[in-house]
Amino acid sequence: MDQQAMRNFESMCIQNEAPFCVAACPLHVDVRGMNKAIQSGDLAGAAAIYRKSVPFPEFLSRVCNAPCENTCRLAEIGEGISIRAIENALITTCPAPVSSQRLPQKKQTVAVMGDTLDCLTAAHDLRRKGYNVVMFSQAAAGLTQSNRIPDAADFELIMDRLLALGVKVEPESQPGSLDRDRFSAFYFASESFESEINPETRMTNQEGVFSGGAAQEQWVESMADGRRAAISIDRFIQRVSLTASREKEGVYHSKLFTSLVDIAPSKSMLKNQPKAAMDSVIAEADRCILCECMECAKACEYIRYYNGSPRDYIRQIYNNLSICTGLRQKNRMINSCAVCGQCEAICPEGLPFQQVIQTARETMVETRKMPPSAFAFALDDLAFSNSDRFKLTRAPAGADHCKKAFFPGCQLPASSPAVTERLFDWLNVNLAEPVGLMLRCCGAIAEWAGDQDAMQDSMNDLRADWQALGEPELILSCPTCQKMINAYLPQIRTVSIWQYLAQHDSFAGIADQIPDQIFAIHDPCSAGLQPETRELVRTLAEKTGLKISELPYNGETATCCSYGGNMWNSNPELSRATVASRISDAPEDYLTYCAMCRDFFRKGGKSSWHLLDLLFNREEMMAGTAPQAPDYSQRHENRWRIKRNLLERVWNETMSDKEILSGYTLIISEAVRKQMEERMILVEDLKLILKQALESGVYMTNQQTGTHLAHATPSVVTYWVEYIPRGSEIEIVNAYSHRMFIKETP
Amino acid sequence: MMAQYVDENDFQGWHCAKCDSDLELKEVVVSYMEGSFPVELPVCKVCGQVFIPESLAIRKMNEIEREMEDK
Repeated sequence: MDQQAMRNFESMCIQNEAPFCVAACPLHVDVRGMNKAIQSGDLAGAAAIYRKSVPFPEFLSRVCNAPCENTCRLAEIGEGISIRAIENALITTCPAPVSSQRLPQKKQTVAVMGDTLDCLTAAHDLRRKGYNVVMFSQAAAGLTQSNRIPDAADFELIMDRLLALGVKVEPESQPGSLDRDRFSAFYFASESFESEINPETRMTNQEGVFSGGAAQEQWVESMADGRRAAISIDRFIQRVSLTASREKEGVYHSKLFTSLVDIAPSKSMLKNQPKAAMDSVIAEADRCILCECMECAKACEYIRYYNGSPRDYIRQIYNNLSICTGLRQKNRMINSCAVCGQCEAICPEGLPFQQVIQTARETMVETRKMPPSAFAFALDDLAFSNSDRFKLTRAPAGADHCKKAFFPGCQLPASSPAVTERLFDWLNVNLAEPVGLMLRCCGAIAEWAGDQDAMQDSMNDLRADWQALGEPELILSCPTCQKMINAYLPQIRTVSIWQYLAQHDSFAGIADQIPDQIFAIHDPCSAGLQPETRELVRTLAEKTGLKISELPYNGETATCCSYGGNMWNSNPELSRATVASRISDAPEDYLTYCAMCRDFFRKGGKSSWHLLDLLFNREEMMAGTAPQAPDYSQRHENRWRIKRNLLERVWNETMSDKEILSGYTLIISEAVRKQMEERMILVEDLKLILKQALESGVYMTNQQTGTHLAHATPSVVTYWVEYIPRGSEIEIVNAYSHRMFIKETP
Repeated sequence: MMAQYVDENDFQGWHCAKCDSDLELKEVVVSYMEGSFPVELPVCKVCGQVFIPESLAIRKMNEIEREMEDK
C-alpha cells in the first residue's frame, strides 16, 4: 500500500468529518464537543470550547442567528437542539478565565478602517497573531456612539477587550490615501468598499487591501469575514499562498453520516425560555446525540475492540508497514480482522477496509514480517486437511470420472462427520448420476493468512484433482469454499447443495417433529455476496415448516463468527468477544448453514443448529439441546475417521494410515482438554511426544509427585507433556508449548 | 548479562529418568527467528536434557517470542 493508496482509503472513512452544526457555523464552534463536555458535567470546559472559537462570546451568544440550529439532525425527527441558548447560558454562568497567555510580537502594522463587527473581529484576530493593529474609528476613539453595534454597553465591552489586547485607536475614519509605508495591509468595514472582493480570501482588487461582505446584523457571518480576512492578511504579510488549504473555512457541506434509526424524537427544553435554569440547559445538551458515523463499529466487534475508526486504523497500518527498525506494534491488530467485508457493506461510503487488511497481511508475508505464530495453528489445519489424513479425490466406485462431485470443505466433516456422510449418500440416491467426492481444504485459510503462495498451491492442487475426476460440477456445502473457488477457479462449475435440497419434496413438513420454537437465521459472512444461496436456505427452511426470524446484520451485512480471517487463531480473546456479541443479538436458537458459525456459537454457549442438522440429524434437534462443539483434536479425528469410513464403505479400501501411539490409551480430563484447546495443543501432538519419550527413554520424573515430563519439537513448536503412566494407560496431567528453540547439548 | 528466569524452586523434585541424575542450572542457548541468546536453565548434569517449567513457557518465553516476532 503506497502513501497515495493509504490516503485514498483514509479519505473514504467519514468518521472524522465535522458534525453538521459545526460545518454550518461560520466560526466552526465545536458544538458537539461543547455538548459532550456538558454531558460529562464539565460546564467550564464547555464554556471554554465556545470561547475558543468566538472572539466576543458575551455578545455573540446573545445575538447569533444560529445557522447551526437549522442543520441539527434531531430536527428531522423532532426538534433540533437550541444551541444558541446553551451557549448563552454557559457564557453567562461561567466567567472568562483570566488569560496569562503572552501574545507573539510581530513588527508589521495593519490598519483596520471602521468599527463594524467584522472590523472588530479582524482587529482581535490580527492582534492575537502578534501584529500591531491600528483601528481608525470615531466611535472606537470615544468621539461618537457606534451605530454598528446596537447596544452601547456591548460596544464598550468589545472595545475594552481590544484595548486590553493592545489594539491602538485613531480617530480618522477615512484616510485620504493608503499609507503603505506605515501599514503592511488594510482592512475596510464591509460596506465601505465597493470594488470586487475575492470571497475566499476577502482581498479586494487592490493588493493588500481586504474587506468584509456580510450584511449588517448577520453577526456570525460578519465575524467570519473578519476572521477570514485576518488569516489572509497574515498570509499576505508572510508572503505565502492566500488560497492553499482553505476549503473547510467558513460554512461547508460535511460528508458525515449519522443514523437516526435508534433515536427517539424529542423536543427542545429551552425553546422560548429567555432565562432558562441551568438544569434545563444541561437537559437540552443531554439531548445532543453527538453526531458521528461509526456505522461499522455498531456491527463489528473488531472495530470496537481497538477503540478507533477505520480511518485511524488505516493510518496505523500504513505506519506499521513502513517501520524499518523498532517494534511493529500493530501486527496483532492487522491479524485480528475477520476480513469478512461486513464493514464495506455497511459503510455509507463503501470503504473496503478488509482489502486494506488483506493487502497488509500479504505485504507482511512477502517482506517476511508476518509473525510466524499469528496463523500457524490455522495453517497447520489446512496442511492437515490437504494431507493423506483427510484429502481424498474419488470418482464414484467403479468409475474413473464423474459429472458431479461433492465438495463438503474441511469443517463440515470436522464438526459433523455423520451429517456429511448422510448428505453424500443422499446426493448419490437422489441425483440422476453417481456423485464423486473431494475431501480437502479450499485454501481460504492461506488466503486469510496473507499467504498467497500457499493459497495458490492449494488451488493448483485442487484444480489438478478436479481435472483428474473429469472436471465435474462441484456440489458445495460451504459458502466460503464457494466464494474461493468461484474467485480463483472460475472455470469450475459450482452449485450449492441447497440448490438440490431445496427442490426436493421429501423435506416438506419435517420440522413438525421439532419442538415448537422459532429459530433466528444467521447468514454466514461468506454468503454476504451469495443472494441465491441465502434465498434457497430460507425457501428450504420454510418448506420444512421451521419457524424462522431474521437477525440484525444479516444478508449482505452478515456478521462473521470469528472463523473468518483466522481471527480465532490470531486473537482468541477478540474471537470470544465477537461470538458473545453475535449470540446476544436474539434470544432464539440460531439456525445457520456454515459449520463453523454453528460451532463457534455453541462454544459461546448458544444453542445453534446447521440446517443440515434438521435434514440429516433430526434426533439431536428433536432432543432440543444442541450438543457441544467438537474441540480441535476431535475435528482432526472426525476428518480422519470420515475418510476411513467412506473409503471402506463406498470404495472398499482400507486406509493405510497407522495409529501414532499404538498400544496406549490416553486419559485426559475435561479440564486438561479445555486447557489444551486454549493453548492450541492437539492430542496427536501429545502422542508424538509420548511416542518419542517411550522409544528413547528420554524424559524426566518428579520424585515428589510421581509425574513424568517429556518434550519434543516435531516441527517448529516444542511441546511439553506431563503425565502419569499406568500400564497401557497414560494419564495426561498438563501440556504446554513454546516456539523458542532450545539447543540441548550434553 | 545472561538472562536468569528460573531458580532452584522451579525444578525441585525433577530428575532425569534416563541418566538417573539431578538437574543443575547451566547456560543454554535459546533461539527464535533471527535471534539467539544464552539463558540459565535447569539441565541434566549428565546428558544435558533441558527442563522448561510451564510458568516460563507460557509467560516469559511467550512474551519474548511475541516481541521478536514484531521486530
